[in-house]
Amino acid sequence: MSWRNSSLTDVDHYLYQFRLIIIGESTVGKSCLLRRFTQGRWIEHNDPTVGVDFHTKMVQVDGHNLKLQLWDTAGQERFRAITRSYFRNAVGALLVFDISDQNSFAKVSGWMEDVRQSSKPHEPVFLLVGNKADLDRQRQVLRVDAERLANSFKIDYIETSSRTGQNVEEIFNVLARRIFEAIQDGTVVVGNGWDGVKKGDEIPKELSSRVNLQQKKISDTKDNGGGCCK
Amino acid sequence: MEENKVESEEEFESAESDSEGKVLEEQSNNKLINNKQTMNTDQASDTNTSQSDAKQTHTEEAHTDTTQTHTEPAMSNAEPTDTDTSTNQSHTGTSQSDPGTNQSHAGTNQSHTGTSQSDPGTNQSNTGTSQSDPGTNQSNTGTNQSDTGTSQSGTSSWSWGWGSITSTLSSAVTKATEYTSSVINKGGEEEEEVPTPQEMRRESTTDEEREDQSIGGIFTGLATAVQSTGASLLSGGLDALEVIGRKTVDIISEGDPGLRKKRALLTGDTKTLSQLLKEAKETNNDNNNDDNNQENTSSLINYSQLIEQHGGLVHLEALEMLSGDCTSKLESIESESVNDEVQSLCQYFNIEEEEEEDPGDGKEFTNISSLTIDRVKADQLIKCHEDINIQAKEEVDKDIEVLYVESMNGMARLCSSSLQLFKKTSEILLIPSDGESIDVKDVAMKLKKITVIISNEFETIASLYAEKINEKSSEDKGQEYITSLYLEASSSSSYVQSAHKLLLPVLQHRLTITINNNNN
Repeated sequence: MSWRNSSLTDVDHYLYQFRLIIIGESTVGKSCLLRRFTQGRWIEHNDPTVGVDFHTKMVQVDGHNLKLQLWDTAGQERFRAITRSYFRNAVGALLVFDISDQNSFAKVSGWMEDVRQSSKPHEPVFLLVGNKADLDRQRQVLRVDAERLANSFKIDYIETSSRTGQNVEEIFNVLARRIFEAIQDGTVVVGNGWDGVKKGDEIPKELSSRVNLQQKKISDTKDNGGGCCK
Repeated sequence: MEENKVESEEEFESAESDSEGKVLEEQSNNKLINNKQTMNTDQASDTNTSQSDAKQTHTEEAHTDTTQTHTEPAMSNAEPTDTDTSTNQSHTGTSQSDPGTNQSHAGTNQSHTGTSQSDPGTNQSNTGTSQSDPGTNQSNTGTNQSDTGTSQSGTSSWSWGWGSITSTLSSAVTKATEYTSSVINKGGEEEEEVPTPQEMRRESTTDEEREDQSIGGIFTGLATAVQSTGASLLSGGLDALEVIGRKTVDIISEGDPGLRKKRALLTGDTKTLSQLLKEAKETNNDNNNDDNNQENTSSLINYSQLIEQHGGLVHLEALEMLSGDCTSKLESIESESVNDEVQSLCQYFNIEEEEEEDPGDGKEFTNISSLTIDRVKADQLIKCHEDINIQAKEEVDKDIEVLYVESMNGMARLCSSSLQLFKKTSEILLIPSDGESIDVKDVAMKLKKITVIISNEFETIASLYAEKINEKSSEDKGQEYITSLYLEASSSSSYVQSAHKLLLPVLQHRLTITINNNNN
């Protein structure tokens, strides 16, 4: 990769970029979870999110760089019309509730359904997150209940704490891996004008045969022109 | 034919730029004509008269620039053909007989939808349509055009940032014209080989399905080039025209595999700005890849990549999503008075050339904070502007490479912050208000001012740095940097202006909510 103009700009090399949305009721701690993940520390966050905020972070799965583009959506009801516009084009969704707030758990299915409707014909990969695990004393949602719900959707359930950092890296790594596997087994299709997964410039090895047709076409024509893609 | 080739290349370019400014005017002309035609359609005997009227009107009005050299033969050829057509039409009723009619349809589409969502099927669907209702078809087309009026102006403004692509396409069009000529010549001799319209229609429908949407663009684009030779085509028949159309696409694509992308750049509407940015980045990467093979590494920065790194792309994508959703909500407006109100907002979204060139004094930029809507802060944008100016005026000896990177980064940051500001503004505008009213027209006016101030700023930054680079080095490398700098400054202005246009549907939607609230 030395040929790229690395002397002028630092370029992120990644195999795929995944667009992930973080959804759930207001005050369950979505923004704090993201700040903990991207900045590695607990940041008190009082202002409710307006519309959407963005973060990016690179994770590694099987030695590949995967860039996560994280869409931190507003949980408040009055933003719902706006956030709904953002639901489509996400390949993955973190479905967050607060273990000390039964109501936030009760709304999980509604959020999931909302995203599913908006992202048709694509089916995002979901992960159920029980946040504020440090507030175990005020727990209102039993782990078994959350696990049962996750099972019924055939998704993973992980409990986290932005305050302590417990499992925060974990949820992003697990979700990234699930999506990566879905690409490998063909459940998730890359390209076709869909922004959920974007191909990066890291050349896939074992995946080279699965690269979407459009990419292949481009490189084919280039080969004809005497060029050579390694 | 050699002469024709050169001319049509020029014509293509002038048609591109001319059509942008005239879109609205032409649309209204078109509407008038369409209405006239619809009226005449009922009387079968008048149909041909009205069609030839329409064609002539188009030739005169819509193609004033393009037909200068060809007007004479075009008119003289067209008239006898039409007479023939009318005879054929009344007797046989086959579509072989109405080249004139369809030619005028094609003309309509070309001139008015140059950069717009021209329905790729429009020309083709007219092909096989029964002759009794050409007027109806046309008026449908007219309606579509007026619906997409806003998006036309939205996409036209930035196309100038892609100068090199335009010229590549025009050279491709020269090839096309060349081929066209030979097909026309063949057209006369090999008539029996030309497939029947029914077959043609079937084929072109499959084509449509197979090709991506942007194929419509090349038809529109090509049609403009073909326009000059169109007159002689009238006698060759519509079928030949279609064959030419599809063959030329193939030929151009063969010669230039990347054309499909470039074509999409020109037609605009099939791709969003963010898609173009992404593609520009990929193309640049591809080029770098090629450069590697030739061991000729380009030292220029991939600007679209910088925009992405500074978060501009994702803000733009979000803005596009909001804007798109608002656009689809606007389609359901039934009340005419509401519709008039909504349309009246368009006037705040045309940025004139002279406004663009208005020299800014730098202080103007901080005024942006007084122009944003409540709850949207311009702090980040203004900070960014200050940083760039401080950096640019540093009395430190810097390499031209450092200066170049610094300026490009600064512009990309400013551009990204602007896109973020527009996205945030859209979000705030779309929050259902609890009785709180927003003066939408006032917001529109202020947004326009913001856009002009930001647009001007890019050029100021570029000039500032270009001067510095020039002082340091007048060698090729320095000049290359300066060129790149100015190019990306103008791209940045285009991005910001295009993003500004995405706010129109948002404001329009907000206005309908306000009107509805007041009515209830």
